[in-house]
Amino acid sequence: MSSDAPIRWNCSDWTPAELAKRLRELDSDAAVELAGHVPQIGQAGLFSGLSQRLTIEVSGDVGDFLFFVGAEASIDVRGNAGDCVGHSMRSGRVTVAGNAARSLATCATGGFVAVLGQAAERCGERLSGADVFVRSRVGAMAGYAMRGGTLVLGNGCGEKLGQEMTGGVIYVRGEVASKATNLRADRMKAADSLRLSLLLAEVGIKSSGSDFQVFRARGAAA
Amino acid sequence: MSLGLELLDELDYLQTPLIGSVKTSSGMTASIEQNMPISGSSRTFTLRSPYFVRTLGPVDLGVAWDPLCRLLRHHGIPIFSPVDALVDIPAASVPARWSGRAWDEPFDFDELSTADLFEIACHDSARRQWKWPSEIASDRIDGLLRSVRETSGGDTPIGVSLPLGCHVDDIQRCLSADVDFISLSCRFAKFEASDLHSLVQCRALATKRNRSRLPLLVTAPIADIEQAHKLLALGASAVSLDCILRPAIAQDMQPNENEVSTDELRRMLPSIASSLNWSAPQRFELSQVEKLLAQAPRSLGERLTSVGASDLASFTWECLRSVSERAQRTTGVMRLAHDHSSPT
Repeated sequence: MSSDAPIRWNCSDWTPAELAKRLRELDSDAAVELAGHVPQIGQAGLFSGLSQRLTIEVSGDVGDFLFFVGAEASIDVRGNAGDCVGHSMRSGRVTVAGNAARSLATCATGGFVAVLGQAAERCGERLSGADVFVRSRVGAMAGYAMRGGTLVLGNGCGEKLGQEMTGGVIYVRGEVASKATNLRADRMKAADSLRLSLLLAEVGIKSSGSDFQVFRARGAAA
Repeated sequence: MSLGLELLDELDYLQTPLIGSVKTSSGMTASIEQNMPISGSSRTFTLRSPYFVRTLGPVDLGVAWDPLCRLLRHHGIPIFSPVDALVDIPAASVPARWSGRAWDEPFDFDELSTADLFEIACHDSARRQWKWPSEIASDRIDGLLRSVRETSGGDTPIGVSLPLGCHVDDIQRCLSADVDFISLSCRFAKFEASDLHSLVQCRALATKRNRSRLPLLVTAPIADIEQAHKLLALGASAVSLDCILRPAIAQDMQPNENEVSTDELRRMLPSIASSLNWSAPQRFELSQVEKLLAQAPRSLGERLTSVGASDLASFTWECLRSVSERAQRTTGVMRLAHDHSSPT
């Protein structure tokens, strides 16, 4: 984290490519604040491929594919986010204060994605190692074809949880509409409790995770 | 032979009258280079040759991999390969690298940022079936393309890989998303008539959408270089040579009967062998492949000249004629009036 005051950019006249270029020119550890409600921010592919240790705050809504194949950076969105936030993300952190649309953190291999509102269907689709937290309810087919990583759902989920899931772990607090047949409910172990409490602490929630259910794919190791 | 290849053989070239040399921009020879514009960039990628290699790799080629890469680099032929397969190749021997990612796998930053061309394969690698990714099912391919383009640095051609025989809507979606190229591959091991028809249809659609020069990179199990050239005339911009190169590589890898092995030499001339400390040459040559790669553009250039085309852009289906009814039906290439009377 930078100790300096954040750089405030009003990027209403910039193209997405220009914004990306300016971000690449910044020193690592810089903090940037982007003004919201500019069309560039709402476009798809914001912060794609970004891999510097930047701290970025976006005050408006963002479009699809936020932080695609991104790494290292810490992005804080105060509005809502489109589809595929953190697609193929490698490391770093994305926090969305509002809601996120479909396929949150698809194929993400590392890092942490937190949505404080709701997430639409296929949240954590083909998740491959990242940690994902959604505080409010998520839509159907959460954890679809998930291969690794952790999916924490703070307020229940829609139908077909964990369909075609082969690895990783899903923690759910609240109602599960239905789960896939390949999914098994597991006992909350000490390691699960520790992992969960650490993830919840990342978003400022103090909990031992005792009120969460644990789900793993059949045949997958704990 | 598969039906698609039979139909290719039932196409022939229309020769131009001998009226003198064809005017070309570069002088005597017809140009086989093609420029691939990159959407959103002023840069263009130049396909130096209308051929590429798609399925050959170090695992199946072994010692032949290094010399093959050297030859491909020399002839300006791109190879579809992951970056890992080329790390041990000397920098001067690395050909243009074309990479891609099936939609159900995470995109890799190194692959994306170092590739000369990159494709998004609409292929479910887990189920081995062609399918659009669920996250872009609702016409979001442009968003994914923009993100991939941004990650690659903006100067890399980004394309989509589709099966030959795919639905017209799929091609339309790619064209609407402003892809830099479309890579078309056979669904199965055989090249069917529908595959041939699909290629013609794809080129026609691109032309209709004012993208007549959109690069279509076709992977098909062709048997000889002449079939590759007919695919170029039917709309392909580049054709894979894998099926032609494989037997040539196998031939090159066979032991040379005239070459004396180290053991044989030691047995025959023990004193000389030990004093010279002779060992077998380490450098592996692909003479058949080299010959083939040198001949292919030459024969294409001759073909362009014979049909009156000054470059590959003017080498179209109009340079062809069908010699059978079924070839005409599949490709839309007309038969000549006198061909109708001949039995087929």
